[in-house]
Amino acid sequence: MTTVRPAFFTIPAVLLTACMGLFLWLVLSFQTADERNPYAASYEARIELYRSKLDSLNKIRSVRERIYMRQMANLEIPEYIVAKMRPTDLVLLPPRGYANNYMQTEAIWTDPRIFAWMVGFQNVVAWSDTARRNQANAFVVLDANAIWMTRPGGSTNIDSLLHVYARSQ
Amino acid sequence: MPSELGLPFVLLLQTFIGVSILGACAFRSTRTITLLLSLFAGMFVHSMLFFACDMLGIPLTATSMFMSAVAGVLLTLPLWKTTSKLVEHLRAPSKSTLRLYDVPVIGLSGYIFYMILWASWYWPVTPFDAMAGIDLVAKYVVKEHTIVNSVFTHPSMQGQLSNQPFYAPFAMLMQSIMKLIGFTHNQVWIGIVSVAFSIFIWAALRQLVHPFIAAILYLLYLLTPEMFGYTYLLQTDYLNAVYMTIGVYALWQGADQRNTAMMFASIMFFAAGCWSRTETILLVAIGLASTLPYLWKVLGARQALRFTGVAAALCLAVFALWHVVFFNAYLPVRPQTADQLVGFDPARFIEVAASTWTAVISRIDYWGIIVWLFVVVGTVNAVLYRRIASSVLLLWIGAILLGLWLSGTLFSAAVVEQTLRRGMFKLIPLLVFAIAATEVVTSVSNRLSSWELKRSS
Repeated sequence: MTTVRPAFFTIPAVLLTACMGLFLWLVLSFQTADERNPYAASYEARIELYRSKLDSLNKIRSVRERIYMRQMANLEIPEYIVAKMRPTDLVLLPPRGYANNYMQTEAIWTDPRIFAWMVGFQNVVAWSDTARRNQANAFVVLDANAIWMTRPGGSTNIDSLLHVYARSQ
Repeated sequence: MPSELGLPFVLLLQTFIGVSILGACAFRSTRTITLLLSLFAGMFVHSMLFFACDMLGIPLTATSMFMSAVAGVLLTLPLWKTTSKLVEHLRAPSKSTLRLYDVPVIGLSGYIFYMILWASWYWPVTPFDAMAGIDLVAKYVVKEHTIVNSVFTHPSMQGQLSNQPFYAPFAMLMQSIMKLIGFTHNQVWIGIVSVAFSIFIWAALRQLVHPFIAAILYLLYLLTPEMFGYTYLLQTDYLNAVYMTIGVYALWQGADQRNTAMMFASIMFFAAGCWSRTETILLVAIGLASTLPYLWKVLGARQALRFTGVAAALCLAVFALWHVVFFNAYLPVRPQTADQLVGFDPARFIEVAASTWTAVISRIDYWGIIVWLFVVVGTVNAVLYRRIASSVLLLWIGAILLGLWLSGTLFSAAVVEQTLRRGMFKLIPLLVFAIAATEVVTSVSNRLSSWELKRSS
């Protein structure tokens, strides 16, 4: 590197600025017919998309709303379960495969770590916890558009439900 | 203290700690590089002191978090006899090196930095790994004032923890620090690290080549699609890439300039790498072993062995502090990593290496043109100058690749398309430096400088 510094504004600097402008256009805006420019696609998806929605997103102040935008049912289901839990309940979290059958996104709420992240530590037991799951006395039932909690003696046959759980793993 | 004041205050204390340590290492570079590296060094040291509070039984609260930063400043005060020279160097007046063609680069960078900081501030923690580990542990550090909290003791977690809560602790500790400052749901510090690291890459490239070429390479780095996506996500890979890149950069510059002080500064960044991601100890071991013959040749046996020995010992100590001491003496549960260890199988190694190339390294949609640009420039350089790139950089690029392949072979949980893809974050900045340091690019850079000077006079 040379130690002599040219001035800020010179003819070569203008020419190089034009070259820089061309480079930026090529990288950020130019798209081939087969859309092979990864920089343009990434810039559009990650920066321009946010910029276009910045105002409307900034109006959403609630942290819960922001979590919901990202997690959807993975937040709503744990919240529902906690709201319906009784003090004596030990809720069995179903296997992920079972919950995936009824959700459009991956049902990560069935992982007790994610469940705890969403709603704090509760009396729940994971399906994969084979040592403790037979102590569960409250169960989650999912349907195409519904969710409810069931307990022994309720309307749902627990043995059948556990059989469905086991098959869906 | 309000979070808006707490954040700059903590960052200032961390930078102060870093300046003291780099000053003690007789580190010399430009003001921008020195201050940015000081921030990174300070973050590492502060996180360790905060961690030490837990080991000593001091509750992890906002007070102990601030006091651990102040303690870091006080502990480094005795170093100020040597550090004052660095401070004088930082205070010396300097002329602006900006040119007209830097203006659009600054404009675009400023815009992108704003979006990074906004996204890291706006969105709550999203990646599964962070929600199941880093952020979950940090949440309960704040609630229960200790790392040994409900995440490791609650009955619902028995046998369910997998690896995530046991990740190397840097990200978790920094996330706890930020939550204690008042940023309870986001990861704004990741945005700060990303912006600082991007500026470091630009400043370091300007030291190597003509500012126009530096700007082109810097923009190619900044806009690298896959890396950019992680500049506002709470994960360990980007942070680890930051520390490993700086470690290799300091070692490379130190070895090239015969500046042993700078080389010793690199040790701290390698140690920070081991503090930020578990498999780094393997990568550092391979890297140090592969660089030893080169350092031996350049610096002599004594210096080379001393550097390698100190680096290996410090990295191992930092690694063991969490993975051996804390796991065995403090945590009530152990990670299930051992179950995921599989024996070395040459066939699997070849399969991992081959699929890394096809599924990860060669992908333009992940890395843009950086990898292929390195291949082309390295080949031209090899033909014209009989070497592909700078020896230290090339050795470390090879060592990191080998380390990633070994990790992919030995750990069943390491998936090529996931783990090794994010492991590539360590290589991208090094490839950019390697391109800039080739004789071909240096020659073009010199011609450009001469042309610019001739036409300007």
